[in-house]
Amino acid sequence: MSLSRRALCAYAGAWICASGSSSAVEVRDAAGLRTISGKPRRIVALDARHTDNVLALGLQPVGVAGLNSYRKFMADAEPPLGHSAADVGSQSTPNLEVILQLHPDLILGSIRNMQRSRPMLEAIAPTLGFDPYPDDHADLYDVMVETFRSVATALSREAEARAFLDRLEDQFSAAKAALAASGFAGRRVALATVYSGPTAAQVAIFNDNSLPARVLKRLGFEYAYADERFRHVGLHASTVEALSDIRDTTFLYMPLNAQGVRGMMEAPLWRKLDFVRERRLYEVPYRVMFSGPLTAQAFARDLVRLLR
Amino acid sequence: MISPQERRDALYIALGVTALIAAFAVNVSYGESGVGSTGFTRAIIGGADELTREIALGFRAPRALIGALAGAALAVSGALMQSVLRNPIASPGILGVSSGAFLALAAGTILAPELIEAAALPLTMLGGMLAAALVYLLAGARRATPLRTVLAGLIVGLTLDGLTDTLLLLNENQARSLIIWSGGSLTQTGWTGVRFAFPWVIGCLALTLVLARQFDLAVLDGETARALGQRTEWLIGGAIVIVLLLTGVTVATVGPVGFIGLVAPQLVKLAGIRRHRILIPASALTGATLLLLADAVSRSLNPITQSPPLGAVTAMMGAPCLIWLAVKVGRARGSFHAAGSLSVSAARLVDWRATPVVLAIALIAVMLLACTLGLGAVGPARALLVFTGADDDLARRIVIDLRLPRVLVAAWAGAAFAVAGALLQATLQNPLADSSLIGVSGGATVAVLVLMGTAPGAAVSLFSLAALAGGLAAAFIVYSLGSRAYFAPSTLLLLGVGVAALCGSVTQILVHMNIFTDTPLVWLVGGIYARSWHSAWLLIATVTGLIPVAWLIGRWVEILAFDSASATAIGLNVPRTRLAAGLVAVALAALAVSQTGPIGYLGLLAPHAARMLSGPSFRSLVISSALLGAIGLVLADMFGRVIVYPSELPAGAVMAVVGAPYLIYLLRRSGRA
Repeated sequence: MSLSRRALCAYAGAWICASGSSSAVEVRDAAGLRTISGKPRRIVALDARHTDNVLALGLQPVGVAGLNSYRKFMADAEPPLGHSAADVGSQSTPNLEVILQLHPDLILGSIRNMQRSRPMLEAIAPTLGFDPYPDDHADLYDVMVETFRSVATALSREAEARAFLDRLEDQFSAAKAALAASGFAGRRVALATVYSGPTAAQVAIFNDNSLPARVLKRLGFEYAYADERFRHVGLHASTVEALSDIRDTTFLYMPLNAQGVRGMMEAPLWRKLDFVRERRLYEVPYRVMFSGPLTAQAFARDLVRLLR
Repeated sequence: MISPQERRDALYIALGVTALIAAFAVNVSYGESGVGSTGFTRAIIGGADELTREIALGFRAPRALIGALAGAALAVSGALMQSVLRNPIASPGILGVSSGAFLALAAGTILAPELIEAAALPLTMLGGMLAAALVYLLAGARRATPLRTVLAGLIVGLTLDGLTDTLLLLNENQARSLIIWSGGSLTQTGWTGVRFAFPWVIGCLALTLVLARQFDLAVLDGETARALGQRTEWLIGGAIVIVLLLTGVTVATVGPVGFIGLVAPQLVKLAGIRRHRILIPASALTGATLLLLADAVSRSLNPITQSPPLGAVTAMMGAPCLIWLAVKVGRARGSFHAAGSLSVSAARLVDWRATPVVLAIALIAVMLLACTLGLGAVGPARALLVFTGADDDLARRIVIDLRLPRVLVAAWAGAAFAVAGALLQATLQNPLADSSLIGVSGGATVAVLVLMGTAPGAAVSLFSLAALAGGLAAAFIVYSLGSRAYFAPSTLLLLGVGVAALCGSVTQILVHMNIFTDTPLVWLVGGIYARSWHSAWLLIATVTGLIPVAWLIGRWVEILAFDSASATAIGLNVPRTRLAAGLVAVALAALAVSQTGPIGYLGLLAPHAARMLSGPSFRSLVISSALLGAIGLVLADMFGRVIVYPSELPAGAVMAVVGAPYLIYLLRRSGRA
């Protein structure tokens, strides 16, 4: 109720002082249409996606949840996370006191982690909650781009967002050309994360609507794993047995831990798989692929470095 | 001349073997790849390509074999427990083996992954055995009675689960694969698991068969058995060791899977088989068949949706069986009936008339401490000054907007859980009772997870409402089914355990379905994170109204301690009193759970601690429990907030770890009395 009233006031206000740039913008997050006023610059990012988003817009967040994990996996991000960012705790239970002490003017997070804390976060600063898995048929790369654009609107950095996305597309084209020169054009690939489970090695195969699969398609590959059941999350967590249905494909794997890879390769079935016999498999550095534009960029860089 | 019994026995065994072969055939035709029953047959006979043969012999066959071994092991363990404890609902789960195994696995995976890689199975099994040894020691070793064993198992289980939850919460990445393991799964990569389990299972089964005659005697009461020449203590000890080995191996290879140990022996006994020489092999066959079928059912859903975890499927199968048992068996003889065996009639610690005043002062002090204690920019000194009206905007916002509502919610929810526990322990005549046993926590969790899966962006108040509705609904089912038995304690308990198991099964399925998109762990381990003034006012208003009601009916609840015949003779309307006490307890617990999530230790612990500090009347127990419960939860939340700053541990996990030494102390003290 009060949101639409606020929006109405914002519209009215913007219409009345109709000279050039108004200081209030409208952003759509998972909870509906929000009005963000001013140009927020003290931003708290409650998960890795939004840390990516803020950094890609050329800004530095003042607070990050899951700081150590981000530094570990995105050490080579461009631009990197600076030293001034404060750790606000875990992604599922960010510390409200620490956030309050940072005096933020915008909080960004995933709506699926805010089910308890949203009102309290709103009391500290305007909060935007996005849904990374909006529906069963989403192209998760497009979802990532749309969220990025919404965040850019909220921060009044739309020009920087366009510039970043243009640079990203150029990077993808250049990478595609480089890989084509090495003979990878049109090759069928599948990507999986490998980690050791307690009794069997777990192989989490990315679906063709996931972020890394879409990046691979932009790089000129054909993605070879599509399973209707797992379109929502874009991932099928399974065992080595599921790999036996993947034929005529180059297999890319990301090891979460070394034990997982060893476990996978010790399975007698492993040696009999197509791509193992024909030695069409590559190890890609691990990244958290449920993330944002910087991760997509870094992933493309890794592939070019690996396959050229 | 074959007697009718022998013919029946032979028939059952023959049927059992046939059923097992059929279950085996069904099971191997499901899997992650396209290989079906035809593929499998061709792989065995010949004429399949190398890949199909590898899948059939490297994945499907060992999986089915471990299923048969695990099912047999669980069923025989259940049969032994039921015979030795003389209780139809005894199951190996009470010994804490699963909790110990899970903790060992979690700790190893997170802290020493190379060790786990080298020896996952032996380490997990060792963890389970150590937990069971702890249970044994806690129960008083030689002087262990069935009730003390169950109590000790509960404490150890809760504590180890609390430790495990803490580890998982601090390591979100690893948590996923471990949570998946905790649902149970037959999936095997190769023959390592089968090679590990085979000698243990076959060896223990053989040993059990050798001792079959002895177990027949054990079913009689102790004195008769001894008169017939049996060394009862040795036999019980031996049976426990066999059960431990079988359960340990099973949990290590397939994870925690319940209800097979309960259901399989019951099915065999339904057929009229009593003698262990047949009961043991029949249970083994039945258990193996059931587990293979459960796994096949789980995998058959693959084309539609993600396979539910194996433990969830067995719980879905077993919980109705338990509920049926509750209605049929009525008064369960033996272990679960002793009222108040933890009550210490020896010297009180304090003059009990002063207790409420002392506790109230302690509560206010603790609440003040929790409001002022904190790390970061606003430390204790600055926070204290807020109460004297200092003009410090940041400190005021932190203390008044963030900390004070948390402390108030903790205090009132703690009181609610404690009084609910006291009421339930009195009406169910069971010192183990608390609100989770009548399904309140389970129902609330299911409702929250359903909402999370269908409407992830819903408002906070909707989640609280869902939790309240779920908790009340589950308790309503338990009480309405129990009304036919005049709310008899044993019936209600069994019904409650059955409903809780069903809720647990649904919870597991929902957690698995959402494991990559959501963080369900935050809801499963109760805590006071991000509670606002709305929650505080809600609890203050309702709980302050309900606790006096509990105090008022206390005089009648006291009389429930007598058996129903005596109580009725005095003039008490027993069913109505049980219902009234139950309603108040359920209301209190559901309200508290809706704001904090399930916090398991409090309702169990606070009334016992209060008993030591309060007078003989139930009314003084209500007051003392409420105050102690409040103090406990406020302290737990405070510790959780500062101990891993800036992350935080939920109060439920802290309670489990911190409450354990206290309950151990209670147990040892009452043992000596």
